[in-house]
Amino acid sequence: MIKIENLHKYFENKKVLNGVNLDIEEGTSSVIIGGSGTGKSVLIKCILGLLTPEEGKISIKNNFIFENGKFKKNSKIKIGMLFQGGALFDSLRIWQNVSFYNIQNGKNKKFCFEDAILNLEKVGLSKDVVNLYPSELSGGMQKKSCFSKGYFH
Amino acid sequence: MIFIGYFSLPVVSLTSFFTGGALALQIYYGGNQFNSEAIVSSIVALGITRELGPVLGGIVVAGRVSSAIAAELGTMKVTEQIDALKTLSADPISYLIVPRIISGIIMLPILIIFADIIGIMGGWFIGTQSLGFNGSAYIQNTIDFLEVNDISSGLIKASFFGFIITIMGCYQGFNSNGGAQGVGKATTNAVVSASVLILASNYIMTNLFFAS
Ligand SMILES: Nc1ncnc2c1ncn2[C@@H]1O[C@H](COP(=O)(O)OP(=O)(O)OP(=O)(O)O)[C@@H](O)[C@H]1O
Ligand SMILES: [Mg+2]
Repeated sequence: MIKIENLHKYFENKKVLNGVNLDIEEGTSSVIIGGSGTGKSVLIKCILGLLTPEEGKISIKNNFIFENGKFKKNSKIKIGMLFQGGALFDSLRIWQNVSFYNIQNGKNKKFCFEDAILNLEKVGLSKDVVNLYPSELSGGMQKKSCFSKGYFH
Repeated sequence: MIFIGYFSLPVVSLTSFFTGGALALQIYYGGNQFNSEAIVSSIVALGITRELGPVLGGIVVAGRVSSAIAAELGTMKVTEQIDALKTLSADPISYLIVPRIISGIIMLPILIIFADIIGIMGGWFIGTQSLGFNGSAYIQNTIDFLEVNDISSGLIKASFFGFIITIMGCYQGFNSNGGAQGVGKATTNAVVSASVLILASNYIMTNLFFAS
């Protein structure tokens, strides 16, 4: 489902990804393991299109989204990501964070609010937190909120 | 909108009031004191509406707003919030940048209308309180002398400055990297680049509007 061929990514003169090949089947879970600073986050950001690789190919569901040094336009792929640093929007309340995708896509407010409560329950957060801001949560609670924001959309 | 416009009003008003007052004093003491009443009122009105209102107002707002935008977007950048927006298929440009630029373009001229009025009142205050002018004659002179063009050229400038202020804040914030220090640098760069661009573009616009 996700296929990567010969991916290269440099920062200035520092080689981070040096010819990565990867093939992940649909419906499987994969883990990428490696020492600190070896390029795991960089690889994932390349797949999501947040970083542009220098060379190689990336395809998702048999569509090449990255080829010949360029990302295809309109290759919007729906992939949730739990960022290492969390990346909760700190000017929005927790429920607005969790339901951000739905709010952006014009779902009604009541639905988004209740959906957020459900999704927060799935990660073990009570509905007391929905109206708080990210800075009012503990580190672990923030991570759980990030998960439900990245995962359930 | 509210942040750029309403909360900038006190500092822009103060700047404009004192500038109008100082301008009145300079013209009075520096010029021929014969017929000074007409000259002071007309030069204060021209100076404030055409140049000092928009330029000083723009620079003060650059200090307040460019810096705040750069710090806000810079923090979002270094904490990966901007990347997170992209993964949630929200376009950071239309979500974060466009609304800020639009409010800058709209709010700056509105602020400068207040700055113009208050700057002229500053000149009037000094004129009547310390130079012994007649208050209503001063106002009448100002109204007779000012033309629509003087005010509208200043407001066009203000609108362009609003664009510069917000786009510099966004640009520096978006391109910041490297944690807290990077955000600090982006903030400084935003204020400096916005101020310099305001002064330079003001010269160019004055040239376009008045040197024909
Ligand atoms: N924006 C960047 N600019 C320059 N170098 C970068 C940048 N991002 C990552 N790097 C470098 O790329 C290398 C890989 O970083 P990456 O974040 O992928 O590590 P990681 O495998 O996720 O590590 P960890 O397990 O600690 O999260 C590091 O050496 C890092 O210094
Ligand atoms: Mg990592």
